Amino acid sequence: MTTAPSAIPSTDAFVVRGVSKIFVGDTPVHALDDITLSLKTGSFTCIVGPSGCGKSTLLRILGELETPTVGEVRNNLPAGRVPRSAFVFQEHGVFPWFTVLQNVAFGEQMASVGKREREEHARHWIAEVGLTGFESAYPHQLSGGMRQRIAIARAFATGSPSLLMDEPLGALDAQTRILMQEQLVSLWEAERKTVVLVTHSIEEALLLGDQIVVMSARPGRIKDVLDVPFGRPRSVEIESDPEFARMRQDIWESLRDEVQASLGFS
Amino acid sequence: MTTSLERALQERHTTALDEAVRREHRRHRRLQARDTALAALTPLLLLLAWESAARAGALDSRLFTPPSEILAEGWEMVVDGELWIHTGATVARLAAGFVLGAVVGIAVGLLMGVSRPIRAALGPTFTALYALPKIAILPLLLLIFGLTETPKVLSVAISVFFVVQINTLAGIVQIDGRILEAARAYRATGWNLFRYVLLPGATPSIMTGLRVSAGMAVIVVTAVEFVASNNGLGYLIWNSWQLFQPQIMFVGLITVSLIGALITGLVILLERALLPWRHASGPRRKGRKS
Repeated sequence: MTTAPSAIPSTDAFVVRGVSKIFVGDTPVHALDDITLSLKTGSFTCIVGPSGCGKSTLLRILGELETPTVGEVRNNLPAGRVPRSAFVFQEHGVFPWFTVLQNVAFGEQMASVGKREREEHARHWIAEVGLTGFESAYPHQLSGGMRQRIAIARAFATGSPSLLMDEPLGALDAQTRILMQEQLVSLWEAERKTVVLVTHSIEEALLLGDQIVVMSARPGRIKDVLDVPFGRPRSVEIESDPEFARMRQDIWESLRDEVQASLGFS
Repeated sequence: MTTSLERALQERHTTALDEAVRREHRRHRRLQARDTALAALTPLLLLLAWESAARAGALDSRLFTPPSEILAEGWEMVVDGELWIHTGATVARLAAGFVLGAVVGIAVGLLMGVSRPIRAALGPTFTALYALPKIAILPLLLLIFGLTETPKVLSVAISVFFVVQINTLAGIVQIDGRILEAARAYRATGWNLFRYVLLPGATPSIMTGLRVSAGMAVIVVTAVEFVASNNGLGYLIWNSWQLFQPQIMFVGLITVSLIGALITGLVILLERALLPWRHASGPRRKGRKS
């Protein structure tokens, strides 16, 4: 586990110290417990853990959509007119009443970027995710995979220094998913933003991440932080590497108890 | 030799495919034409049956004026201007009441949607008032405003207001939480949130409210004219009962239904113009609207 140094080095984009989150309500939910973590600027971090372990809550706290009950989150990324973090949600994050172009330009529109400039950026990212020709289509006219690419293009087009993704590929079929993973890797390798990606797929985490954060069952604690040794550029070919198989096994061993715990087995 | 044989086979395959696609198209068009014909045939047959039954004496033609006589009566009323006077009066009340009720209903619904205190303050009262038959407050309005146009227009406006307000509020409240989350993540706040997320999200429901209330407005204006007016189509219908002139009554009934259909059609056109994202055609699937 990474212990946060008292003086925060400028190379850390996010520093999380002693964060716990309890949702109060009819039945209070203890979502996160004493999370301490630091994420380097320009790194790609994947968070894996059993369902309901608070992965999404941690992501939302990093993105300032949620405040921790106790603890502290430091964000050292430059604050400009665009938000410091751009989100990609699993599904339903695109606005059905906007065209592809309007959806992708939305982040910069909210940041009061001029129409011509934001549409130029949007067109660039629409091309990057392979949606050229669909600029004036509405989301419901497109497939699930294409809608998800709108969400990814929007996050990149917003120009935020960090991207927070909540199971962005979770709703896709297996083949589309592999292609999108490769696309995501190459987009990130060109941009080197600080990325945090929540996933339930160990393979996806190994393919995309520089480090993998393994979380325990609820209340979510950090169980392990692993460095991924594979170099870049990466592609799905690394799955045939014996080291890949070994790490997948390790992570699964570490996760299995937690998944069982979250399912109520002992 | 093989290549020429392959080419021939390929050609035959393409022709067969083209032929099948053309057949499918023809079948589709034929079914559509049949649907249209059947839809028009039913009322025509009914009118024909009515006409012949009235002429043969099977129907009492003093009560059920044969369609040909209704048409003649209608034409006469068009020529001497009587129908225009009544239609004009009804349409004016409808238009004024509908626009007033819709504008205020949308405004109040939106305000209640975005402001929790306003929703808490007005919600229960409006829900209780919604159950009150709006036509029942006409006597009160007559007491307050006298026998002027105001109580008639207000009756229509109040009926429209409640339906539109409730649908507008529901439209905002029912916006998908994940959509709101995405809006928040991209820092849509204040006017931007309202203009680009809440308003477009609520528009389908607002349009539903307008469509439902358009039908109600026609009912209310007719009922109001039955009792508290000396012009308008409601008055025409009621008066022809008292004078025992069923042919005029039928002319009135037909005109009122035409107005109702026209208003509903206008609202549907407005809906198509405002909600292109709902009506832009996606890939056609079998079984949908076939």
